[in-house]
Amino acid sequence: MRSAVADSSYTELAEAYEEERPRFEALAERLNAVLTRDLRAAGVYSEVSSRAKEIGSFVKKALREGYADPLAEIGDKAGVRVIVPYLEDVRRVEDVVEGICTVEDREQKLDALAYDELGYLGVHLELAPKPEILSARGGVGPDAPELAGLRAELQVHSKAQSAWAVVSHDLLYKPPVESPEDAKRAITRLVALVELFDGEVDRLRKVIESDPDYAEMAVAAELDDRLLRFTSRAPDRKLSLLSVPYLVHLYECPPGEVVSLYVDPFLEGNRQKLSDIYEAYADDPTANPLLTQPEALLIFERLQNDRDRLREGWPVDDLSLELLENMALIIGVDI
Amino acid sequence: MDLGTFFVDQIVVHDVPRNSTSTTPEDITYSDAPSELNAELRNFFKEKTTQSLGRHGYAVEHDPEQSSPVPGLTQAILADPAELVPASCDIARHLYDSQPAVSNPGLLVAMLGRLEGGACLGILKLEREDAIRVEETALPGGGKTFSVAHLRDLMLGKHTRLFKASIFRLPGADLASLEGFASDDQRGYNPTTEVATFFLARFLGARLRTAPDVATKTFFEVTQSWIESKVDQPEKKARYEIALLGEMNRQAPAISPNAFANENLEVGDRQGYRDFLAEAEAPTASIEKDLKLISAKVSRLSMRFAESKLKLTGPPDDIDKFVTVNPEDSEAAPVEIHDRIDEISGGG
Repeated sequence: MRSAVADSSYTELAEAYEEERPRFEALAERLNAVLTRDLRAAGVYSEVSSRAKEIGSFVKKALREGYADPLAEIGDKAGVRVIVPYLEDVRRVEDVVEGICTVEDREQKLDALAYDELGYLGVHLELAPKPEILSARGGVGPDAPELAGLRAELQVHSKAQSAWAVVSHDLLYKPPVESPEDAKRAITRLVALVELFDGEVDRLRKVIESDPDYAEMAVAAELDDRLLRFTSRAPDRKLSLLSVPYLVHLYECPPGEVVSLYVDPFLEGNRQKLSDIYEAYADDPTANPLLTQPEALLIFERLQNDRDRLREGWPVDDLSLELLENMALIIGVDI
Repeated sequence: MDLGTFFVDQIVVHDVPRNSTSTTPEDITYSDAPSELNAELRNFFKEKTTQSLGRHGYAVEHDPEQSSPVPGLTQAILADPAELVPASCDIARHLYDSQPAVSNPGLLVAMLGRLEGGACLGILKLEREDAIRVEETALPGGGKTFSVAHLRDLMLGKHTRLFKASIFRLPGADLASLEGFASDDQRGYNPTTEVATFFLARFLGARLRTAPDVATKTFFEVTQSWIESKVDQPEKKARYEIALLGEMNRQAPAISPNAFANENLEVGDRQGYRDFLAEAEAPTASIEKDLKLISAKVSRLSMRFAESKLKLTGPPDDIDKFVTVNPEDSEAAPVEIHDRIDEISGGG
């Protein structure tokens, strides 16, 4: 089949896409905003970026691939990329995506490789946005009926996969000449390393989580997800060690139930208040360091529901009482 | 009111001199614009205000008997934030006019902010040392304002004496709905009137939301009801009852339900007690003590014993001093009276 670019001038194709491009740009931005919000609400640490395909890049792809109808067939005109720390987070991203888009095609790049092949990794999804996210009722931007019917491509990578994708692009595609065989072999070894790295990280996480002493600190990990709704500052795990074991023992339930039985109902009843607090302190360099720690949510919950036991047993040898008193001031409780 | 939902958006500072024969209203230094703020300064003033109101605050409301212009000016600011500067100048002028000659020079700080999601106005009076001045900042288009960063440094450096604080919101359309909190850190719990009359009445045009005698009676009765219904052990019941009567008879002009809980109740009982007060709509903020309605009830304490049906009655202070109530499972007798018999007489 002859390429459409061959039948018409590439300038006509460029002009046609230039006219369409603002809609794809708007779609990419809309998806970026909704995903950023919903991934945060789901407690998934992630970096979301988006773009509409550049006109030059679009024309080159049309030339390269020989599409009959490039405007209809090129799927990544609106592109969104989500990078997550761990491979097992990829599935959580997909769960969130299914809430806002219809997944029309899913490509797990690893599945496409034979057992003795190494290559590009990650998950690619072809998406059609659900009507609610194009509506003002969706809470992100005004009504955008002009975006209905458009498609977007979403790439989900672990950090290691993302690093590989960036480097491989430079090593494999940018050099003006074909790479020598031994360089290609070295690059292949790097891909293997990415697979190994992600696999080992997941395996080690499971080993650590099966440690019986992990239960108390697992509460902190669970709280990380909740805290993400209010702040994206990364917590200091060593600081958490100073108070989380003490705080967890203030509850009359197993550590594994603290969040669901106490913290979640507290968050449900205080969502707006906490959002306002975190907004007010976001740019305050003198803010209480505990505020951006996961244990802040335990402290706030106990200040509201059992401030006396909290104060009585506060680990003053490790954390000054002034820190607790300031947390009480922030949430409006007199201790 | 949930003070944890209080946030500061804008601050205007005016410098109000001592009202004496050597000063006139022309000596007031007015700001011509809100002071420059950043998150750190906003939060500093949020926390200072919350600390004062949370610890010593009284629930207050508009007092139509007072002629103070402050409620009307507060209403104007809450209706139109652009009124913050001009209306707060009038508030500063009224502070000068209403304060007694003995009052120290002070800084009037008007804070426009949010409380429970709605607009609110905070009014602080910080008394400063005579020699201390807050840095002025010239505005590009003329006029001046004060450096709130410098004011914060003075407060941290103890060059200001804290402080009379108040916060108001207007949930309804007219002044009758004006409500808030007011506190006076300087006066502590010692003076005969907790919030200085001039500050609350003459300056703010407000009054305590619940009359002190009613608030005191409600606190006393709800606390007794909690002891009766929620405390199981007789020894603990007696201890708490004695503590309550001790609180009522103490030579202090105010009661803080929170401080009462912290000082007298076991750790595990305090939260339940506070929740009980809140559910019964009893005061949880400070109360100006007035025993008028319960004087007979708090002057004597009675104990009735389970088996003998004997009854011990006396002033709470004497019972506290001479009677020991032990847990029933202790080696000592459940009740011990430490005294000598002075007189025995036959009855009937």
